Amino acid sequence: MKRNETTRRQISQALNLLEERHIQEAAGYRSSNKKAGRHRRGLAVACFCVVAALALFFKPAGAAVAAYAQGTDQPLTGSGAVVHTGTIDNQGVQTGKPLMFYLSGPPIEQVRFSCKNQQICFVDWTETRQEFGNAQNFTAPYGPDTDEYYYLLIDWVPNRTVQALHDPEIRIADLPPELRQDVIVLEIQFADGKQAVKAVTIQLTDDGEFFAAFDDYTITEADDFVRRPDAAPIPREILYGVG
Amino acid sequence: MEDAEIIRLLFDRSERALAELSHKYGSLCGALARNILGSDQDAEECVNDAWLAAWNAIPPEKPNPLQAYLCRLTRNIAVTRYHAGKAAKRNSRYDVALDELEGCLAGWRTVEGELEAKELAQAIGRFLDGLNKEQRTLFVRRYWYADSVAELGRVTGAGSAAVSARLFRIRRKLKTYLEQEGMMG
Repeated sequence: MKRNETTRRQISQALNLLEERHIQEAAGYRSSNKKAGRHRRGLAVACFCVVAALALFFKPAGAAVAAYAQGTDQPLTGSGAVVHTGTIDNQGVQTGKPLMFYLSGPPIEQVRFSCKNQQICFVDWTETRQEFGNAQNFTAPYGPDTDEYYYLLIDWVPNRTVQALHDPEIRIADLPPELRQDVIVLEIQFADGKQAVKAVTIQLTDDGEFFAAFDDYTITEADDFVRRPDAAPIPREILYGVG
Repeated sequence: MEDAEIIRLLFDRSERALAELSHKYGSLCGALARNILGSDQDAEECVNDAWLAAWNAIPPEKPNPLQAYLCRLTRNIAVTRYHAGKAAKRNSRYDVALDELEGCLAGWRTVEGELEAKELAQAIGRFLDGLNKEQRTLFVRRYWYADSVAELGRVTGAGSAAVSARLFRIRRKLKTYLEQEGMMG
């Protein structure tokens, strides 16, 4: 692209006027990812030790897979906790993200995601994989580089709940269960050929917060939503064709 | 030495203040100048000019935080030199960073050719407030500090490819934001 010197000078001058708080924040930045990295490595080491100790006994393959909320790196545990990344009020106004999470663990070939009531997106910040937008079922490739999993994000999008709350007669407490609860099933195919099934369960609390848990899951006959066909990925020319 | 003590030395007109500035902020400001000018010699001259500018400005100014103040002084001097002598200074990191932003902001609306830098700066500031801390840091360190992608990878603990991808997304979000603000022609 031919350089426009006037535009470059104006951009340069605009950057000169950035607020000091932004300049100071960036100067002193230390990535929490490094702490999360140590946490994940520690968790992986701990899980490896557990698996090794129980090697003579049956152990679910997915025991070492963990899930974390994006932005806060809050672990999603089996017992569950309020996710502090977003809320919704009785008028359907959202702040932040209700839930965007990433996985961590041993090398994963692919994960098939199935969302029961709402929709999910798969975003790849490394921009090397297929991505999926506002769908309920899709299979996302992961790959051998576990460091990249931090950048593979699953965004839970509760649009049905938001739309319902736009009705002035409806409050969170009035919502039916399918608009206050959701399940995202993860059928994980590991690089070593093993498989595991996990699920993220999400509950909208009366005060507009989201409670999420991540645990083993058993698919039953009643789980028709898992058997829906996969959505197609977003065409790359749409994702990366402009900019 | 604490910033308050350095400022006190400047108020006392003690030349030790310059040595302390150099000791505490020389590396940061030197790297910033080098990123923009692409030359160690030019960067050293730029930093020396920044210390002189600080000496002349303090007092009566009493900047807080001192770090951001010195970085801004250094950057202003470096960018002025960059634009003044840019024919001979190509392919610095700042050049590359400006290339990226220029591509992102192509079509940025100006009024009768007059400088709208303040308006753009305010819009970018509002845009940055909507990002998370890591995204904001990536943007500012790439386009204000002119850090290389490799350096950003070191700071964030991510690979260069991931950093490039994230910067691309942030630029795209910026473009969308400016379009929504009505600032793109």
